[in-house]
Amino acid sequence: MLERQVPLRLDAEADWAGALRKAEGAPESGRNHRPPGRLGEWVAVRMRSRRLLVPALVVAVLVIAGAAAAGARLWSGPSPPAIDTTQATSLVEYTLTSDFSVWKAGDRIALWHLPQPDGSTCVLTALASPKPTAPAAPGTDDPNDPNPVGGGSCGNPGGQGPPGKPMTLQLETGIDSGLYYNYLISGSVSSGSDIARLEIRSDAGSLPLAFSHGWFLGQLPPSSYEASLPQRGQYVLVGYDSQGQAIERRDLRQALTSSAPFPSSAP
Amino acid sequence: MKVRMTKEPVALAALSDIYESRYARFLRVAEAIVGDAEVARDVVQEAFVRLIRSRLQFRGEGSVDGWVWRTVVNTARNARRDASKHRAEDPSVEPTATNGHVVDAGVRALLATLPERQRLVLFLRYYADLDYRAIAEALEIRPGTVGATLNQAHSAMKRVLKEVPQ
Repeated sequence: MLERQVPLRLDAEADWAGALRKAEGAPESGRNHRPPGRLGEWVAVRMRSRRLLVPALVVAVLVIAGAAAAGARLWSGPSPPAIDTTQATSLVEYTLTSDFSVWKAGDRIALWHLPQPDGSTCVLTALASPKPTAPAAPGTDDPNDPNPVGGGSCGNPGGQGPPGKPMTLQLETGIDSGLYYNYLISGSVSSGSDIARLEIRSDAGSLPLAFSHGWFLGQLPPSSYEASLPQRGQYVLVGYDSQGQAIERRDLRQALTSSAPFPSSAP
Repeated sequence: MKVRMTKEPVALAALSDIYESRYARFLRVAEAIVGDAEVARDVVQEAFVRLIRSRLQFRGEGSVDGWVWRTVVNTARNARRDASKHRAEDPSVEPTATNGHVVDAGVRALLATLPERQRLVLFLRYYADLDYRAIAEALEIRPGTVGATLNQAHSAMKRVLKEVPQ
């Protein structure tokens, strides 16, 4: 009797991605979402399929040493120019310990230095090889591209952090397979810095970062299900000189809090 | 040795699994509460938007299923309440029952005459196929109360059905 009143609509189409987009306040189109960053503008998070929508939705940036002080030219408007990759050179390479964005654990990624025809510079993450090919435009999605560029920034003419600021730091947050939040940390030390190596120190130990040409790249441990790292312990980026002395420290708590992908709100 | 319980927030993947595997049931219960299939879709979406946003606050007090069902039911109740306000302001919408007698012989109209708790227990029992414990969690009542409420609902429906001219 009751069962007949309201049918079980087995053919109803569930829309998990829609709920997820709405929860994040992301645009309905979803793909290639580019939240504004404080350093320039994130250029593209590319996806090879719709399954990779989620990692692309959340990209957060925090710049501790502001690029604005260095007179960075910031992109504005919805259509940033195409990125010229013809002079791409690898700055630093890192082997992922867990999935991040479109890449899998074990993939070797790099920060790529991309001088632009107008004199500006882009620094973007992409696979360490092959060399990134020229994208048609940031935010476009070419499934045949063997090495699509990921997050990064454009603008700072020198690319590297401004003089007088020992470190420029960027933190990118992604979700992998809907399970974990992952953190990719990258940045540079100023040309006059004595920093010879960097690591992230936490309650769980230390994590060395790849460091080369004044640039660093690495990952924080994946969160357990949510962006809870700031609550789970202290994460400090420590720079050492060639003698092994710690000469620079950055508490990442604020960066991690700022990059928490979802707002906290009770139903 | 004491075992320290670690209470993790809910993973997106877990929510996604629940959403995908039980979507039709969520939809059915929501439709039963709000009385409209389209509104029910919105209700289920809205409920999961809330769940996604608030999953970090979930600390294992009760089961994830109970938390999810509670959110879906409460979202549907809110939607129904909002719709009722609109209906009250719209004189063109006729009530389904007057003077304690059921005007519409349909079971849905019968259900509408039941107290809300009885309706919800019936919906979760027969539309979602939840057991007493799960219903109790979803509605935040005791399992014993679920049984008693179901009995009351059954009795009320039998009584009302007898009063309805065939």
